[in-house]
Amino acid sequence: MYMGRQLKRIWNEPVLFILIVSIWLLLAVFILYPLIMVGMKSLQPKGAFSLDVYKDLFTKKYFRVPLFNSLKLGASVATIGVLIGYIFAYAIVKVRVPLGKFFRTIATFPIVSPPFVIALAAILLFGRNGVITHRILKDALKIEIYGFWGLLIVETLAYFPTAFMTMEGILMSINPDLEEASLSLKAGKWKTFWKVTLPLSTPGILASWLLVFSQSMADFGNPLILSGNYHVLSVSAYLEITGSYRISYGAGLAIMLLVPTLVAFVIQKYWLSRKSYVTVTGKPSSMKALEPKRYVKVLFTFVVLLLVATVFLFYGTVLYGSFTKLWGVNHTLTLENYRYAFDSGLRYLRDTVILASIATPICGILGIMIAYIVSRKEFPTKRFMEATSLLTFAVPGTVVGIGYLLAFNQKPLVLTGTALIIIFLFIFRHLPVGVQNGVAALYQIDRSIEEASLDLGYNSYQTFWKVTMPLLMPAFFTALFYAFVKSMTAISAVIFVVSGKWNLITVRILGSVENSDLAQAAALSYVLIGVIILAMLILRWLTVSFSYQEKIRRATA
Amino acid sequence: MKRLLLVSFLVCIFFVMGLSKDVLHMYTALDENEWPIYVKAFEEATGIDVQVVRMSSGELLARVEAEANNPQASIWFGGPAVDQIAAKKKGLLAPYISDMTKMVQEAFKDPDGYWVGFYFGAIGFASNSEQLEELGVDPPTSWYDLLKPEFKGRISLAYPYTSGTAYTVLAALVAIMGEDEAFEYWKQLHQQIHHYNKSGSACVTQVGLGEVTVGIAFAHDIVKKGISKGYPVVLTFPKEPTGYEIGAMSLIKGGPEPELAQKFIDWMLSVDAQNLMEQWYRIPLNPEAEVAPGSVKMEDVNVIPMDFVYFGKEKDRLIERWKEEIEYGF
Amino acid sequence: MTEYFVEARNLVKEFKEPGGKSVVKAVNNISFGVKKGELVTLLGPSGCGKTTTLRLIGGFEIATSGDVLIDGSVVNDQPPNQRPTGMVFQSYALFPHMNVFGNIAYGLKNKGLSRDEIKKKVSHILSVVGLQGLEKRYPGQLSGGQQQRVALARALVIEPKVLLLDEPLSNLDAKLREQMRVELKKIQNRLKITSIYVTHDQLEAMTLSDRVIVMKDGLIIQQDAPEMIYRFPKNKFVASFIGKANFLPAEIVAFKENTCHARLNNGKIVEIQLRDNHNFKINQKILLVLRPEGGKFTSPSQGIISGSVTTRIYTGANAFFEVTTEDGTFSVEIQNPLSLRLPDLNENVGLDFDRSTVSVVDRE
Repeated sequence: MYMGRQLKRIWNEPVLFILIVSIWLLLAVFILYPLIMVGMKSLQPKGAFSLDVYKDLFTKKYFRVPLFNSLKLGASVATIGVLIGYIFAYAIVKVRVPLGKFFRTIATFPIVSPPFVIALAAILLFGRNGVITHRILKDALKIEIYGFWGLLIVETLAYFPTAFMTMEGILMSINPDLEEASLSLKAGKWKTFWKVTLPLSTPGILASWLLVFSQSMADFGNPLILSGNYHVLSVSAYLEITGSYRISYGAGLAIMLLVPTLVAFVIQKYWLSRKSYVTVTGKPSSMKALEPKRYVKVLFTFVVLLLVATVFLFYGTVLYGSFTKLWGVNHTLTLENYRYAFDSGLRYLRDTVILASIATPICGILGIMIAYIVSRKEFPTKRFMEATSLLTFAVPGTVVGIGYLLAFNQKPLVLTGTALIIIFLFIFRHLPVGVQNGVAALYQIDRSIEEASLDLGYNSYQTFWKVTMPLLMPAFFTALFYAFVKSMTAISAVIFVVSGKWNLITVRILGSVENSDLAQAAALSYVLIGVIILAMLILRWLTVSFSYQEKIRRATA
Repeated sequence: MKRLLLVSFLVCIFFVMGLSKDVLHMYTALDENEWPIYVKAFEEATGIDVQVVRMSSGELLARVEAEANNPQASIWFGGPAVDQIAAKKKGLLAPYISDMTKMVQEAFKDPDGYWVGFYFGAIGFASNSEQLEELGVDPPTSWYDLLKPEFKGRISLAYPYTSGTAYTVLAALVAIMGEDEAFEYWKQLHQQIHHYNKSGSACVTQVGLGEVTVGIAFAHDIVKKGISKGYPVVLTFPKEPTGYEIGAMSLIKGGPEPELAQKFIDWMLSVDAQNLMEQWYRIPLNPEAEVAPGSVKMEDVNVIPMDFVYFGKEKDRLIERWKEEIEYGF
Repeated sequence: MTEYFVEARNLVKEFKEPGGKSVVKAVNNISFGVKKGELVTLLGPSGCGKTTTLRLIGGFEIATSGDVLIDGSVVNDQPPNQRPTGMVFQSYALFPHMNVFGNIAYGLKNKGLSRDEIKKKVSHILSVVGLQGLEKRYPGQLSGGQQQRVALARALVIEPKVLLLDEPLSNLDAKLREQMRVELKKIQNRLKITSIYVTHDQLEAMTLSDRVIVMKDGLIIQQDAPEMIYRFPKNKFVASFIGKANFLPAEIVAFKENTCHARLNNGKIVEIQLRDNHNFKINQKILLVLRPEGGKFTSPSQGIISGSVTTRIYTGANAFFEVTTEDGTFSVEIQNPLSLRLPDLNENVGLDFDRSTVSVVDRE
């Protein structure tokens, strides 16, 4: 009944109706269909329905072991990552260590850089020919960077920023009045932390844990080059398909990879977010009594410095490596690698930039549109649409990649080998960023403003472009930036669909590492980082020039 | 402004989709730095554009199988015949017989014309001479030398299921020792191995860099990527027979440009093309072609006869056994 | 057909609780109408459903059941942009990225008018609301009162058939509010637009409206002209919500024409005028509604109740008293006190109330 009324309303706004239907079509074809294909393939190894694949998966060692390994690694990375992230966040928000802003920027490096740069650095430092293991320590210590410990260090370093940023948000939103009240009730600072701050941060801690866990499970680039004999699910699934050409087994492994990450996502989104018990005030505390003691400040500063130094060490090593002739053997500085990068490597860079540049604006606009209709409009299946558009966040790249390979290699939609499949993969894999950003930004905007536009005679579509978008510009450009960066650094999904015509620089870097051409890999990585920095500057400039606040400032100056 | 964006976007889409001239789509398992040698020469000689994707041989087979309903490439260029035999068995190839292919000896091509060999390579050992000196040990000249305690944790090679090179090693061992013995041997070898790679020739560079002491790979890779690059690498062969590969090329069934692929096959078997293989120290199978100094000829090595058809057929089973008993056996 | 230009028929709006479990009936089957040119106010405490009702008429909410009619046709399925309504939002909702001119002209740009016509209309409406000369300012540079007037101008300039106002004055300070009340009434009178006004401020409702609709918990309690609501409130809630009220318990003992006789607890009988279509009964327990401004001091035996003065506030123009009696404390407001003798604190007095300020409600 009520649904009938909702439908009639939508029907009366044809543009909105078409928009909703088109979006559903896109989501169904490019998100749901591939995932369903993965599931189906794992249940139909030889055409007929059979559970053979799963039987093998749970009995054969070479399937159980990667599952166990991935879970163990994921849990470890999550736990340590969250611990470090919390300390870092606490140091910056509560203890207020000096240079907080600077440290915070450094901490976000891993988020915007290519995924396996850290693993590459680990190899350069601690590998078979590592600077530390081989040259400095002269092989005295038997440090084995390939395997569980190496991955633990690398993934923790790569993913603690995610935990940090979540926790920073949580700590900042805890009303300082609560802590002040606790202190004024004569509870010591330590006790206040344990009984007030920590419990209030708990939802954030759990959420970060699940997030980092999922990221570690889904990680492909790092384990591909660093796992050694520690086989993990993502790489096993990939090798099962590309090495053993057993697609149904690869699909089965992908499903096994999917389940924990999906569960983690659902818990985080639908259960934890309900239990948030923080109040948003944004008011920093000015009370003297909350200032921590000197030695606490020093301690925290030291820890933060240590972390930041590690990040610098890793990225710096790769930078240095990019200028060496032959890593491990000949460390004379040379520009040879960069020359090679811009010579033979240029086509990879060019292809990647073109594809990312096409996909990014579409992804951004589609994401914001979905955020708009999901936040502001009423229609049946609204919640379902929101969940679907966020699905690729939860699903590991490997699963999506296999899905695209299976789904688009047969009728009715054959896209393998084209640029389109890569573009679509980029768009729909990174859609959640735009949607989430959009929803969060729309939450802040008074919905009456859009209602006023409707009231004055404009339909939803026109309102979106004339009123919503101008107000959402900052969120839009942030979404664009992340979509671009993620597309430029994509590997785990896209490796299944690269073809002769279109090749990506991340795949090339992996190839170089494979061939032990580490200096070459380092140079290519930094060229990629350079492009990303350039993109960031361009987008920052665009954000400013398109923001209406700037326009106003200029008009009234 | 919006409209401009939309139009330019559509233009880009058409641009990337549209371009089609005479293009040959190729999958190759040859080294990333090697295939351009032949491809560029072919392009110059014929004016045909070639789009190449390079994958290791096992990956290539998987890709062709995945694309069976809609092949994206027309020619499979390089990589051991074993994988192409497996592909033939799966019905993924198309036969091609011509004057050029008739020139190749029977032993080096498919009797029905589904693939034709264009080079020959033998499995050898690459050793880092500096480390051998430090360890006070001679370069290995027997499979069993690899089991010496001095080499513990100092050997690398590739996974048999991703690399044609490593699968050839496995096949050779099975041919030499018999299957069960071969697996027993490899179990012991596994204790000596530092790590496995995805690609077959990666271990050569690693030996050159001193990351490991010994690598097992094809002789031409060892010469090209190790010795000729100036690394302290030494090439030896096991005195028990060693294995070998026939590098093959074939037409992918249903590929978009079969005639262009056929042209390439003929061209690759020509003397001019085969001479180019000197640069990679490969042994050409056109009897009139030159052989590079330093490269290893069939007569120089003790090779065991290998039934590639058998090994093509048994690949699935052998890999499965290898994974269960060796990779995850401990 | 119908005499009403805007009509709500059996409107119901349900919202799901955020937890997802239960359902809240924000608007619980209400019906009312607004005649052409009338200004009707929806008045009630927060949470009573008045804003939701307004939004249903404007099209910003979809009714769970029931109909909204404008100019004779059912408009349920029409989104806001298709309805002939213009809304002034509580938060003004000005477009921050457009200046005053842009904000006001926005609603005209899609109506096919020429640039000159638009310019003329905008200038005209700006002078109507008293904001000439501010075209180039941006909302961020305007005061609260100015923003409110821009919001009003923006809604008026499109010449809507129905004007909807959602607590437009609640964000202004007291003095400005008073000023704007007068302005609004003048403008509405001039333009004769059918208007629906929402507020919780009974003073606004009383001064602006042709009719007041009092709402509570999603229901309409009373719909009437302001004077009637004040003179004859329907129940205790309305009586205390509109104006100030004292309540004196009594019981109906007899009816006489359009009045009733009520016996107080102290035995005295009081005659009170009733409304024509009342449904009071003999022996019904009631409360007398006594407005403070109708109070007069008498000697303790002469008034209808008596007690001692417990509060005495003298401001010059008025004097406020509280008298504590056996039946509770009563407030009295004396206008023009200089002409009378005022009792002192703690003095024993009697109270009487001008019968024209007394009405009757059920005791509940």
